[in-house]
Parts: sequence; C-alpha cells; structure tokens
Amino acid sequence: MIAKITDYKRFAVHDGDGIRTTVFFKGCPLRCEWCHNPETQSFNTEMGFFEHKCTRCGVCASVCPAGAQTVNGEARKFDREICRKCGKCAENCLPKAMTVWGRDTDTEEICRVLLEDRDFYETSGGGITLSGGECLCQADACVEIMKRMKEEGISTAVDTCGYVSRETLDKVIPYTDMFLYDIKHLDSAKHKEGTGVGNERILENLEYLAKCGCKIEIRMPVIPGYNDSITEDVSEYVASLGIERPVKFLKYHNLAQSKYKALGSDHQMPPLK
Amino acid sequence: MTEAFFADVPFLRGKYHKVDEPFDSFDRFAYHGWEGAAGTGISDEEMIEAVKDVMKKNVHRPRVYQKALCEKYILEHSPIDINEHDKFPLFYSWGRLLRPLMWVTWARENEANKLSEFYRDYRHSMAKKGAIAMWGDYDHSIPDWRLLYKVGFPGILENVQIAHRKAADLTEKQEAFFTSMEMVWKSLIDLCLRFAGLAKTKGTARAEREAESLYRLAAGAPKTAYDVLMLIYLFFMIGESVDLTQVRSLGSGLDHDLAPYYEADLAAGRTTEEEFREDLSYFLMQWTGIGNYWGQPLYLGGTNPDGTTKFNAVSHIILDTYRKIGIYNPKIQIKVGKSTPDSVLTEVLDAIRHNTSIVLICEDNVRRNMEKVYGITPEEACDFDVKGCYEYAVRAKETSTAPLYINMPYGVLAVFEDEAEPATYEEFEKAYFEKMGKVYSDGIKAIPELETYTDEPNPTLFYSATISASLEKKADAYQNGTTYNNTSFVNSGIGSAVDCLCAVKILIYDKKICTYAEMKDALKKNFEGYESLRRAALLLPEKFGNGNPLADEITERVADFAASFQGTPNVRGGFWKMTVHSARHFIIFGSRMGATPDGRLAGEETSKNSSPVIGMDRNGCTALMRSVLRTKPYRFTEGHCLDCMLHSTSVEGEEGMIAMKAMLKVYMEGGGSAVQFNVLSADTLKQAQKEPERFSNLQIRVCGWNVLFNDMCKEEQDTYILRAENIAE
Ligand code: SF4
Ligand code: SF4
Repeated sequence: MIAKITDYKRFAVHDGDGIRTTVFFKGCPLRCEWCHNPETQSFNTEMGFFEHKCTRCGVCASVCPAGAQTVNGEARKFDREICRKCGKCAENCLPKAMTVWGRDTDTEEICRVLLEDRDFYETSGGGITLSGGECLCQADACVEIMKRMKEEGISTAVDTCGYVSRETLDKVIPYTDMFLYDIKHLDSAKHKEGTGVGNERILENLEYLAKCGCKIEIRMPVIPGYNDSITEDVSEYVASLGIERPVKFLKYHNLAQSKYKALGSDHQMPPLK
Repeated sequence: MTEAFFADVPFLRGKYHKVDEPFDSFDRFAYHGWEGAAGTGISDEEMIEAVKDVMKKNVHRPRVYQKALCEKYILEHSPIDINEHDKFPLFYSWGRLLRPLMWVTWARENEANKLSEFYRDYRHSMAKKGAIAMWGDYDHSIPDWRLLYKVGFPGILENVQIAHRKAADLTEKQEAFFTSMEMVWKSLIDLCLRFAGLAKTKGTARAEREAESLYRLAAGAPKTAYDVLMLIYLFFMIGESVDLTQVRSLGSGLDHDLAPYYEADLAAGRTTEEEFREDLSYFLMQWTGIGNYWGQPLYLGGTNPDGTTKFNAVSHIILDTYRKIGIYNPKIQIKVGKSTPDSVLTEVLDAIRHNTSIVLICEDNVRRNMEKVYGITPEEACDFDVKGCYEYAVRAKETSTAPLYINMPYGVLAVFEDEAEPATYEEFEKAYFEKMGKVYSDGIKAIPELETYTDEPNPTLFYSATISASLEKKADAYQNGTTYNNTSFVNSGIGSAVDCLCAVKILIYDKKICTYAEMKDALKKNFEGYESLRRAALLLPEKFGNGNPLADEITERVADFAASFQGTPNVRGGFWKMTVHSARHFIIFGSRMGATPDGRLAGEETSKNSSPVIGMDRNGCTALMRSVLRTKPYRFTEGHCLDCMLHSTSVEGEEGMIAMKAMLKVYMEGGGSAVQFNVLSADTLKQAQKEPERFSNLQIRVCGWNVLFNDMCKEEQDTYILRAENIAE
C-alpha cells in the first residue's frame, strides 16, 4: 500500500515513551496558525526551496524538464506554477536547497525504515510514532504499518489532532498502544479561529477513546495570547475523562517560519509573545 | 567549593604558562612554569648550557647514564616554589627545552646509524604520500601506581637497589640502567626535601601541611589521601617533564585508589569531606593550568572481581567536585557496565548532558576481550588501566607503543595509480586490500628496526623503576621490560575509506555513471571539469555511519581486514594491537592526499576517528551507532571510541535521561568499546563563534579529545557547526 509521507525522524524522544522513530504523513484537515510542520498540511506533493542555502550553482536549472528553475548569477527564480514536482532538482542539489515534500512510499519501505532502530526501542521502552500532518487521514496505511509493527513486538503510537471519523478511530484502535492527542482549545469558536475547524468532533472522539480505555497522552501547544490562560482548565478536563497521564504542554516556538518561506507562503506565524 | 579555592583559580590557571600570552596547546611539553622562589634554581639558559655540558663530558657513556646525569642536575637546579595560592609545589616542565637536546638528537642519530634503507624509504616516501606516519612513541604509559602508594618513592629506590644487587652478569648498559635509576630516584627524594624545606620557611598552615606531606614522601609510603595526591602530582611532573614519558592516568582508578586513605583520614579525624574536596580541587586544577590540547585523563568506576561495582563515596565526591569547579582538563573516563548502579548512571549521564567532559568505557566488553586476548585472570582484567583517551592496558604489566598511524583511504588512490583497470568492483576491493595489506605488513617489517632501540632515544628511568618486571628483566619498560610489550597501529579515516569504496562501486561499476578511466582522470584533475561526477559522489546515500546496508557491509570488511593484523608478534616480545582513531592525523593525511572518489577534494581532511565524513552523517545517532557497531569495536585491543553528537533538546528531562541510558545500553550490548556523547546545538555553536568572549568555556569533545571551541580555527568550527546542524532536534 502506498502512503504519502514527508520524512522520518529517528531518535525522537518527545513523541511518546522512550526512543522512537516518527513518520510524518502528508496532509492535514486543520490549518493551525502556529503549525510548525506547514510542509505536511497539503495533501499534495510540494517543493521546498530554501533560498538561503542555495549556492546558485545552476545544476537544478540544467536538470529541470519544465524550465522552472532560473539561475543567472545572483538572480534566482523558482517558478512553482510550471514546476512538475518531479524532484530532479532536489536529487541533484548538494546543499539541499531544494526539497521534495510528499513522496509516495510503499508501507513495506516505511516498515523497513521503522524496524532499523528496534534495538533502541527495546532498550528504552520506545517504539514508532505515526504523525504528520494527520496520519489518520491515511488510516489504511497506518493500520498496515502498525499491524506489522505489532507482529514484530514493537510499540506503536499515533499522533493525531482527532479531527477524523469514528470509523477511522475504530480501525486503528486495535493496533495503537498510545494516542498522542492534541487539544488546542476548549472553546469551539476559539478553536475554529486558530485552526479553521470547531472542536466538537475532536472532543467527542477524545471522550470515545478514553471510554474505550485507550492509553492517551494529551498534548497542548501553548500559544501566547491564544490559549495560554486555559492550561489549568485543560488539565482539569483531561483528568475528568479519567486520563491519568498529565497533559504535556508544548512550548511554542516560531522556528518553522523559514519552512513557510520555502513553501512560497507568506503566512506569518504568531509572535512569541 | 570553598571561596578560598575560587580565589586561587587565577593563580592556578597561570601556574604553567601566562594565560594572556600566546600558548600553543598542541606543542608537546610546551607548558613550562616560571618564577620559582628567588635563589632556588638557575635560568633556562643556564640549564640548557649545563645539560649540554653534562652530555658532552659523558658522551662515551651509555645514553641512559647521560640522561640520568642530566635529570639529576635538573632536579637539583630547577627553580621551585611553594605558593600561598596553591596546595602543590611549583616545578618547571623542562620537556620543551630538553627534548631537542636528548630525545630528538638521539633519535636522529639512531635513524642515521642503525636503520635500514627499507625503513627510511617506508617512513619517508609513504609519509609523503599520506599513507602513514611513524615515530618512536613514549606515550601512553602508566606507572605501577599501587606499588608507588605501597612503598613510596624510597621503596621504589630500595627495589631498584635490591634488584641491582641481586643481578649478576650485567652488561654495561644494564649496569648503567640500574645505576641511573638509583641516581634519579635519590634525586627525586632530595627534591621532596628541597620542597619541604622551602615550605617550612613560609609559616602558613597550608605550607606547613605541604611540608609534612613532602617529608613523609621523602621518608616512605604516603599515609593520607593528600599524600597520595601529592605523590601522583610529583610523579606526573617528573615523569612527563623531566623523564619525557607521558604519565597517562592519574591513579589506576583515582576513586578506588583514594578511598582507603580518605576513609582512614576521616576515621582518624585528620581531614573533613570539605577539606578533601578542596585538596581534590587544587589537584585537578593543575592539569587545567597545564592546558595541553590532548588533556590529561583519569578514570573512575569499574567492577570488582566479585561482580560488585567499584563506584564508592569517593567516586561521587570526585565527580561532584569536578562538576562544581567546572573544568574540562583533566578529562574523566568512567568505566560503566552491568555492575554500575542505575543511580550512578543517572549521575554520570546527567553530568554529561550538562557539558561535563566524560568518556564512557564499556568495561564489560573491554574486560572480556582482554581476558581472551591476553589470557589474563578475571581479577587482572577487572583492573585494566585506561592509559590514554580510551586505550587499554593490563595494569602495571603492559607498555604498548603507538609508532604507526595508517591512513585507511590511502589504498583506494593506490589502486588508481596502477596501470591495470579492475574488471569488477570485487577486483577493485581486492586490489584495495592488497595495497593496504602492503602498508600494514611493511609497517610490521619496518617498526621492529625502530623498536629494537626503543630504549635508546629516550630511556625511561622513572617509569621503568616502578615496573617490577622491568627490574627483573633488567630492561627499560619501553624496550621489553614489561610483561606485555606491545605495539599498536592507529587506524585513521575508516569513514573516508568506506565512502570511497562505495563511490567506486556505485559510480563506476553498478550505475556506470562514469568509467574507470574517467574517475581516474577526475581524481588526477581534482574533479576540475568533473563537477557533476563530484556532486553525484557527494550525494550518494551509501556513506559510512548512516545505517546504509552497502556501506555497512563494506565497513565490516574493512574493519575485519584491519583487525586481522592484530596479534602479529612484534620485536619486543609482544604483539600488535590496533586502535581506530586519528588524533589530528585526519587533517595531516588529508593535506597530503589527492582527491578521492567520494568527492573529497585534494588536501581536504578525511573522516575523523570512527565518525562519518563531515556533513555525511545524515541519519542521526542511532544509525551512526548501528553502523559503527558493525566494526565490532570491542575487539580493537588498543581502543576504539564512538563520538556521538546529541542535540541538547533530545537529552533534556526524564525522557532525555531514558534516551541516553538506552543509547549507552545498546552500545554496550552491541559490543561497543568507548563512547563520548557531545551534547550541543548548532545555534549555541554559531553564537559562540560570534561572541567568543561569552563562550570562553564552551568545549567540544571528540573521542577523548577536548578542545575549547574558541581555540579552533574558523574552518574547524564550521565543521562542527555543520555536524551539529545535521543532528536532529
Ligand atoms: S541546485 Fe540547489 S544550490 Fe544549485 S542553484 Fe539549484 S537550488 Fe541552488
Ligand atoms: S521538481 Fe522537477 S519540475 Fe519542479 S523545479 Fe524541480 S526539476 Fe523542475
């Protein structure tokens, strides 16, 4: 089965217990203002261009079949409109100024990569984490991967925003050892303001998972001026669902701004304060 | 730590060289010291003249005797001091001034008179090509500290005298060996008395305590923990800076060695924990003051023969004191293994993640391998010494020299130099191993010429006298005076070698991106006109240290090949050992080597230690660890160290601690030998580059070497930044 993913992260120590390898799936139904993985939002393959890394060597222009790359001394243009996203430029770019985000990858191949670090999972009580984007938008691929991991005795985690159907959840529950579940706001209107969608379905799904006895870690990105005043309320709410693990509050940073630029987007991440 | 100590830190930092004057920390024995108390000794110029004179008058005598006469003169005439800001005496390092007079001159004479054409050719022509580097080696020795504690300086002198009396039919050289040792050890005892006498004139409580300790050392064995520290310090200074042999560990497990003395001191009310910590602080600071680039190691921890841990109260005190005074030289190695309590591991790893300089030795693997290779008892194996950054030896019974550095990628270029074109990759690899095989076997043939005369350029009078076997065998410990007189290869650039072989396989034979002739031409032209070939080479995923299957297979074969030369007999009655590291030779070799198929340009550095080529570690520390384990580090009897960079955010908090422990466990269980975690972030490094004043203490640790970040040149700094950028957050 094919999944569209952007990247792996090995030696991930903040995506569940122990040392883990995390896979980032492409595509997400939310559009959080503060998103630090903007390259995973769109369901389509995208090209990233990090202009500050470009040495103006001109190789991309010489290999591009579409004529989308212009390198003329310091003058440098990347025309997204006509780019075919074939990835040839990225393959040949030494300083990695060009990157392909979103490769159709066989779940077999994903499993192969995930299994590489199994020694580290075993000694640290770690495992693998499916993240994104919203990995559950590609739930069948998730099931396929996690099934295989379970056969190998490897612990699995799903990092989700929860904005998915009940059916989707039912599909993955049997193979998921832990849910890393995001809460962004308890107020639906505010939620919509920050993410583009209301929070009803998200909270319903969370309550459902809790009722099913799933192991859950709630994670909350703390955005100054947006939700930093409700952290205690969130903790209380989570406790009321019988979820024992304390909420993990993630400190906001805007280090992803350069990725927005690389995507050709002028979105401004919220300021730090 | 006490306020008094911190107030004395500026003095201690300036004790051996003026901190505000340029000091080349790479220059051997460059630390010197100055301004002894008035009237206590003569000037540098006078000393040099006097030494020259002694040598001239005795030129017909065995070198060992000439050296002893010089040492005696130095010990008697060197300026000394007892300073109120210190707890240890001041003694000059004479190494920088003495080495050219004796060692260097004698080594040249030897080379001219005693070494064959073959040796000279191998040494010079192969070095020019960047294939090898060789020299007579007097590093990496550790005296029999435990014997020193037991009998003291006078006891060692007595041992020498007894052995001398008992020995019959001595040759002229052997006779001189004993007479010389007697002479210099007497001088050392006299020096203790000279120090003590000066201390007595000071009239402070601190100097009085110093005097008492020095009188005790002049009379017999050390009695207190402070005496033991004093003994180690004095032996170090005399061993290194007069006898010109590295004293490569402070104690044989400083915690283990000090504990009984400290406990007895406490029980007798002679000291307090506070005072002991202060003594330790002054002791450790001596090496901060000396400030050599390669740092002074001492090791802690380990396992007792009954399987219990050697960690004790003193281990904690040393570690904690070290952290509190915030220094990085001396550097600490810690033997960790199955017996190490979890709480100790937490303490040690926590120190590491807070930028404390520690190399972790996977002692179970090292121990087991030593038992097998040397046939020693488990008791002896438990006691193995760490005699360098991470080199190992049987305690008090082994001297292993490291006279030969080998540049592993060299063989690849040597194959291209031949007319013949290998038809397949397999043939290419075979030819590579043949070329390297010749480098190794010629080395094995050449080095004996040098090592037949190890005791000639630099006879070792202080070290040898502590080694019982040396007295029994009537031979210098560096010659064949120890039980295990071994020699080791130092293998540099495994990462580059593997990358080159991968590039040849993929670019020429598998994907046929270029022909053999084109690659040959490209290398000759330093890739000029072959830019796209070079880019293809650099972009290959088949690189050492990334968990790449092809690269890992080749890694295994290259490591197996190198390891196969271990155990070959040497000329000193021992055998060849091997270590995988490069000190600074990755730069030297690189500067002498043309472009290589992995895309490296002529003159650029090769890979360092067991690290990937700079910028080529793309898959993070877990992949690196997996790949490095394919070399089977434990089997390299002379040592092997993995340098693992971790991002500061990935080792934070409880999760970070679990991750660090898991990393270490995987490495230990997978057959690792030593590992050094370097916790940093690229941002910090960049900041440090911009604002050197604010980061004057930021240190970089790579496989046992500690350097202040700001001491590195811009290029070296950039290299580290690049590596740090490649590690995942
Ligand atoms: S190949 Fe990369 S570095 Fe070269 S011009 Fe294109 S984007 Fe820039
Ligand atoms: S992805 Fe393909 S079409 Fe687009 S710029 Fe790169 S080479 Fe050209």
